[in-house]
Amino acid sequence: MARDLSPRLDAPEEEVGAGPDDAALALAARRDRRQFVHLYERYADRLFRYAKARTGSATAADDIVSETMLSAMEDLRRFDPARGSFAGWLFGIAAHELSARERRRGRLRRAIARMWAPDTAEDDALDSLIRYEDVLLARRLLAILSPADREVVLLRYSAGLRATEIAEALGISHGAARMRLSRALQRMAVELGDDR
Amino acid sequence: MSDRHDDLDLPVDPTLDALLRRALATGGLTPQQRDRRLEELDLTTPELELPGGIVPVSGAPKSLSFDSAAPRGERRSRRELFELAAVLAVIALGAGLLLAQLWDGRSDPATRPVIQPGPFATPAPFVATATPAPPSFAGATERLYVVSRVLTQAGDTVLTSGRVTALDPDSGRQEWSLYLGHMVDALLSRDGATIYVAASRADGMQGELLAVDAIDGTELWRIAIPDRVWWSDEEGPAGLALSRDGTRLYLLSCSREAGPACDPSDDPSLAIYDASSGRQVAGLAFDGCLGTPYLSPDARALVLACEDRPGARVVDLESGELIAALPGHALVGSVASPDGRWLYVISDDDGVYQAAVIDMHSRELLVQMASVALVGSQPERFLDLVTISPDGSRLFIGVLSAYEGNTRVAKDIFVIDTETLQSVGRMTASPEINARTLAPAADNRSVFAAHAVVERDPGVWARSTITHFGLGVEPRTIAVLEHQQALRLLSWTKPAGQPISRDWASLEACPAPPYTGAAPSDPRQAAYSRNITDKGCSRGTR
Repeated sequence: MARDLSPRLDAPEEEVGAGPDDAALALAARRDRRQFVHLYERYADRLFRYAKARTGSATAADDIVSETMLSAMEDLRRFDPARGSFAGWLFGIAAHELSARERRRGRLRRAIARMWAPDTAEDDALDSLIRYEDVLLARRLLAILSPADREVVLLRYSAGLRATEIAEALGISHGAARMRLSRALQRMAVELGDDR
Repeated sequence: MSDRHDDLDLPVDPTLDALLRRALATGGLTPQQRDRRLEELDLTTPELELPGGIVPVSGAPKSLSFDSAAPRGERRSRRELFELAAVLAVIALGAGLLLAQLWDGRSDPATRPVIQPGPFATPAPFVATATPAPPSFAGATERLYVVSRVLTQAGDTVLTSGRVTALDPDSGRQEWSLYLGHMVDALLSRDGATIYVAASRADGMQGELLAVDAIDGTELWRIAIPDRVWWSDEEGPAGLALSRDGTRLYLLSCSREAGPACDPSDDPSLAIYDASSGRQVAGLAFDGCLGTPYLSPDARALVLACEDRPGARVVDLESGELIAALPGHALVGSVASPDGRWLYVISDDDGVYQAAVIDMHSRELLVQMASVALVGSQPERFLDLVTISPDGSRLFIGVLSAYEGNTRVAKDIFVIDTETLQSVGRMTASPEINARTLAPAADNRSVFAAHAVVERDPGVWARSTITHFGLGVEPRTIAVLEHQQALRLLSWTKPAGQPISRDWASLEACPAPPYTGAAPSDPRQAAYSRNITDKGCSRGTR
């Protein structure tokens, strides 16, 4: 039975887009850098999740968040709201930082092996157990994908980006992003179905 | 049973959707991390200190043509490069508008040949139904082939297939077209007679290798390679090469265990096939290096960039010996001169392109790292955005150099003199297009380029425009391929006075001295002043 999903994957924290929109905040931050804190609060956790999924390391993800935010703040004048979303622009910076990091330190495959080790420090035992099983299963499903397909899934689910924003972040067309996501989800669903 | 993401209009398995949300969409920075990073950003200063103006960096090229390159050894910071890029972007805007006017005036879209995808059946895409080429194609002095992915939509499903299309570069006329499996790559033999194609079946889980007559598109032979997949991402493999004498075909492949594309850890191997029959004659497994290998186009060298050690290693495939160990920079590709003598290994040192030059006759590293002054970033598909002119005098390198929306795209193609490794010019593509792959044209000063449309209409899945442009060459649209993503262009120029034949020896303008198997000399930093004539090689012919 089909059910409707929200247009954007549910973000566990605040609804992105609530309050002043990104473009207004970005323009304000150009004039007064203190306004950037609102964009930071809005995107830091999503960047962290995405970076952690890519690198497999909370420490590396922390660094990536910092580097991405710093780059975004310094290059804020390059962001043009008329030409795309702030989310797409920001995650494009993050993707570039991650790619440069992976070129230096190894490819995604190696990171996958240690991806999403569950952080039990803040979860209760039952939640951790359930999540650990989920993480293992998700990791196995993602491992069957090509790096490019895996990337769109991570941007979709870890970062909660729309297809348009994914396309902007990766520098590909909307159609290509949609195609990659469709293909990836179909492959994962088939693999998951075989397990059930 | 399926759910639907309404910004995608795609079905999503609800169980999978819920699983991915639970596994991926939770967690975040700890409060301590957040506070520390916010403090580092120093958001207490009222005014954001942005550059007061755009200031060219010291020693930067002074002209749009980028004639002068930075001295070797000079490094520019990323910030400086950004500033320089901004300057050039402003200038390029004006040039781009002018170019757009020229473009529009000379190439009316209504008159451009439009190639629509033919009938497509799934899941059996191997329909070798090439249309016989007219006699004129067999006698053509220049030919162009487009290796592309065809996208078709059936309900919510996107179907992909590979296609090789032969074009007359003058008229844009389609000479023949061949549908294949997806994720195809191809190369053209030096004599222009045969196209070798690495394809995958529709499920992506088994490779096939086949040879096609380049004149009429008929299939010469085909072999299945079970349980192996190609060294590829979805953008196309980079592991197919042909020996200089045209008799051996080299193919990098991996175990299919991890999926339809190779990954460095998936049992990589190099197989060698008889190019006339497809029979495998040798194989080579290599391990101890988790990284991406590149075959030099003439299969003389294997370039390995390993994860667990900095830099890249260049290995002679004939002897298995190490030719060069290049210092720690991100390897982005290699290209060989048409005569096979020089191998250019190009890397990216934090935004500065560098080139190592190896003499493949003596197996000697001539230049370890020479700065190549380019402005822009390394594209994802760098291998397809670097090519060399038929006479070996010019390298053409596309870089991500402009913004479309907030996305960087490749509009600039730098022309590099291979003698000096200095930039001698910059070609700017039309504003509406984004270069994806290049092939050299016969005049040695222009290129064919396949462009992906920078589009925002989700109804347009893909469109590739094939163009011809260059220094002093009026830009010209050759063809528009609807619903196709061009992965690679192959061009062939008939050698002057040479018939199209398999007479390999007649094409060898720069014969290699006998290889004695001696150990290569130690890498050394040498002044880059090659005199090709003195070495007995004429670069003017192929």
